[in-house]
Amino acid sequence: MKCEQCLNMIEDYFEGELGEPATSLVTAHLAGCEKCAKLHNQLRREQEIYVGFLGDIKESPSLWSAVRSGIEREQAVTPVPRHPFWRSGLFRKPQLGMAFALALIILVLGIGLMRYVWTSPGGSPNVAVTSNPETSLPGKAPDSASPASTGNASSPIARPNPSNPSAKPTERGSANGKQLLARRSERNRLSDLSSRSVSPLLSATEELMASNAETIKAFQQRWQSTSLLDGEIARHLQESQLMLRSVRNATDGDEVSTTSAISYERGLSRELLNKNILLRRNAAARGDVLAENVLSRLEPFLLDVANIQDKPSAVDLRLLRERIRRNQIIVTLRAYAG
Amino acid sequence: MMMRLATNTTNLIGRTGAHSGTLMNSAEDLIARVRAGDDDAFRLLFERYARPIFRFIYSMTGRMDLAEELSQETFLAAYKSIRSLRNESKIGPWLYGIARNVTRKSLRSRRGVAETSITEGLAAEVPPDAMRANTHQLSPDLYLLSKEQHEAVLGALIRLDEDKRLAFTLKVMQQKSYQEISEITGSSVAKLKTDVRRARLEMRSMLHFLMEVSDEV
Repeated sequence: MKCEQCLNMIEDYFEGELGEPATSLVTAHLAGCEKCAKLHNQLRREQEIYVGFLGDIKESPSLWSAVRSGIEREQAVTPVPRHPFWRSGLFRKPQLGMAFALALIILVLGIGLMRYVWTSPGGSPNVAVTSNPETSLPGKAPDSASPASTGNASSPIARPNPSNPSAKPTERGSANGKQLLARRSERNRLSDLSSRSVSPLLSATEELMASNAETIKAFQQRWQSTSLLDGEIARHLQESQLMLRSVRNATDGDEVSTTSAISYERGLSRELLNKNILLRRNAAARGDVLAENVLSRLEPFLLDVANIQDKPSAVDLRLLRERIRRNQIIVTLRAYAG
Repeated sequence: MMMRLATNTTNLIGRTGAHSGTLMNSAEDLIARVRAGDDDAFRLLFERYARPIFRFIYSMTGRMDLAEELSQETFLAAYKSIRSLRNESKIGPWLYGIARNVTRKSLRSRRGVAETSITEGLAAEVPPDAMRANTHQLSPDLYLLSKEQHEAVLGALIRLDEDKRLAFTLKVMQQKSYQEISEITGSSVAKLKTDVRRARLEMRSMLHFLMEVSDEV
């Protein structure tokens, strides 16, 4: 071994970090090399000084007392658990403040949600009382509401238009917007219809639950009579509509044909007028405001036709037809009578 | 009678709860007892490691009062976190690691103080009682020589940078293996060897007069 190699390894050799073959080689070299042996002796003297440096250093006897008092302080602050967590938790004083706060928050949120649901459109049965009265006529609402309630995707409004894929983006956007608006209005309309169709049943159920047997019987009779009258009103409105349509569509032909045509409507109108008066009174008596209103609106037209002269002038007929058109009574009757 | 006593003593060896004064307890056994709430077991651990830890901190800080304070802090931290010790056989490196962190934190908080004033203060604080403990049989000349030697070594040690001082203290003064030092410091063995070699050279150059005196003596 050369001195350079020995000097590179001599510290590891001195510290005992050198492996066995190298240790033997260095030992053999130190035995024959005075220069390297001198360095080894220097390391040994240094080591004696360094070890002696700490040889007299001792901790004070009070160190353990200080550590112990620190441990006692620590234990006083955070006592060491003597039982497993579940056992200590079992006998622990319950702390329910957080649970109560959480329950209160959930309660408030629940009340808010319920209020939102019941006050939103279509959410409450009370909404039907103030809603559009046109569908309270019998047979109208359930038929109209059924496609929406089943979510019928074949509705021409709700279905997207695949027949024109080459439309421009702006056109398609406007078309989509129109479809969206139409879909929204249709949904609102159907929602109103469905709520209105359900509302009488709900009201009846509430009354049934709240009343005694006699009240229930009276209610049933009233309900049946209401249904009959409603059907009769519908038929009456239909006949009146047909009669007024006939008057409106009468052409200004020769005097004889016009007179003969009007005389039939005049006779029919008188019958309808009498019936209209009866139906209106019955509706007023039972509190059916809707039927009373539509019958009251119809009555002047029936009166005009019934009081027409035997030989009416062309001007009179034209004025009558114009009045029928302007007031759109036929459209109104068609809407109510179906 | 003697046979039966020996048998009973053998049965107690390594058993948790055996009295600390009667048997030699392994570190694992002592740690288990500390975790079970036995403060006497922690005192045994303290007695086993207090002096080397104290000397290590003294070497790093150079002040007796600070070494006392930081040793206390080290053992308190060890007591609080002894449940987190995963390998009980590594209690030594673990304690040294805590001491190293506590010391480093203290040194960094005192970095504003001029190092020279620290060195001067440290040298002045060389404990006369501790020096006399083993030197009372020496003549006054040799006592003074020993005191001067201590101050010189301490002064040179404090002038080393922190990494070198750490490696030098653990390797040369505490006689730890590089593997142990690596576990304590987290540094690689190669870096530690380089630090120790450079620290030896620096210390040699600072203490050359001491080596000459030592040769003469």
